[in-house]
Amino acid sequence: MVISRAIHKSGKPENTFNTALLKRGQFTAHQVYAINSSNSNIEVVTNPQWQAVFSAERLSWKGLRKLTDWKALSLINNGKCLKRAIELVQLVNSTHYDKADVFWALAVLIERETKGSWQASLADGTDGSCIFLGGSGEVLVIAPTGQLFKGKLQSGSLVYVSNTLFRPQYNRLNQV
Amino acid sequence: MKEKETTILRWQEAMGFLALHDDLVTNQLLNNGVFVVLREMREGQPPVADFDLCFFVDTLANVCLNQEFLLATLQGNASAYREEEEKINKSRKLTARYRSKLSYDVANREDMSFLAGAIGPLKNSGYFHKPIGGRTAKLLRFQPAMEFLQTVSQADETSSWLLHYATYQVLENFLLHSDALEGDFDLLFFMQVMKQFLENRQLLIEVLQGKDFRWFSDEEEEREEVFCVV
Repeated sequence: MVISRAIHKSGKPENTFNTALLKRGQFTAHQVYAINSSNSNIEVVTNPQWQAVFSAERLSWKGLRKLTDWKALSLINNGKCLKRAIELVQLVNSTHYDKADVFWALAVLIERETKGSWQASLADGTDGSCIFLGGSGEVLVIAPTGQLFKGKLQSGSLVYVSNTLFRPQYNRLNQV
Repeated sequence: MKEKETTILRWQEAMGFLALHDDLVTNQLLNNGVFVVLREMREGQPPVADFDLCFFVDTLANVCLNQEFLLATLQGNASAYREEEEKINKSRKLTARYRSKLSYDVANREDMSFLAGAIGPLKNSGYFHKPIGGRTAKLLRFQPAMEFLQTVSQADETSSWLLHYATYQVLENFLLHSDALEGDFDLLFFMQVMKQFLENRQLLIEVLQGKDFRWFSDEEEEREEVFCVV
């Protein structure tokens, strides 16, 4: 796995999260990583249909002080934790689907670390965008152009179409 | 033939309702309720009829109105629930008939069939098929909802207290304000949603204690860098 090798190679310095791979756009479609908090390993996640399947190869990553940081950050301030996730997603030089996959992987991590206090779910946009809904009414839209937009449900940023489909109202969303 | 997917009704109105309830605690609780509804519609067992989201958030707002009570009950304080129960019994503004039927003895709470027993006669008397502007609003899946309530009651006392409380609130809302209801209301789906909502107890407790879980509440720049680009 390309992702696995790259993470192995760049496991130092400890505080470094390897984004070089992301910059080079080596993520294949719907292939993302997530951090398994129970054993401090990184798992490669295949996510073909928006369902994270944590089954692929595992490998350790020594630079996982980050996990503690994530945990602390998510418990103290969800906004900051999310901000980090968004920063990371913005570094993904690939399709908006890949960006969504990376965000989803991080969301799974945060949700797990916070034992469900932080929640996110997925929906589709009528324009092909990927939409994340937060447990407190937040909206994060990853547009087909790759741009990220944020907003709130109560601000009318999404029009309900069906249970899995919304129409983003970009004039009511703010670009991240 | 594939069954028609049930949808959400009065989405925009529900969003407007959320915007009106802008205090941190209530807003987070109501939004979380909507989050659970959407998730249940998508991943759980959807309602058997289109679901009036605005009626739901209105009911949930009533459930969450007494935040001290809610917090104490979530923390397992039985006396808080009983006090609220007494207050409800004393101050209920519904018809005498409804009041007499819905009143129950706290001491007999082990028998969780009380609610079904109390409401059953009302169902037969037509209260749950309320005529609204030429049509009749219905509470759907009433009996399965009561059975669901009993099942939950046997499993978890705190959830049981609050689910009973939520049931009381939805019934009251239906009886008093169902003129605003669009379509029929699936009571079992409501209770399944409320169970999911109440299951995340730690989240609710922290929200009620004032913790801010919103994603975009803090726009401040952080000093420390957790991730460094290499």
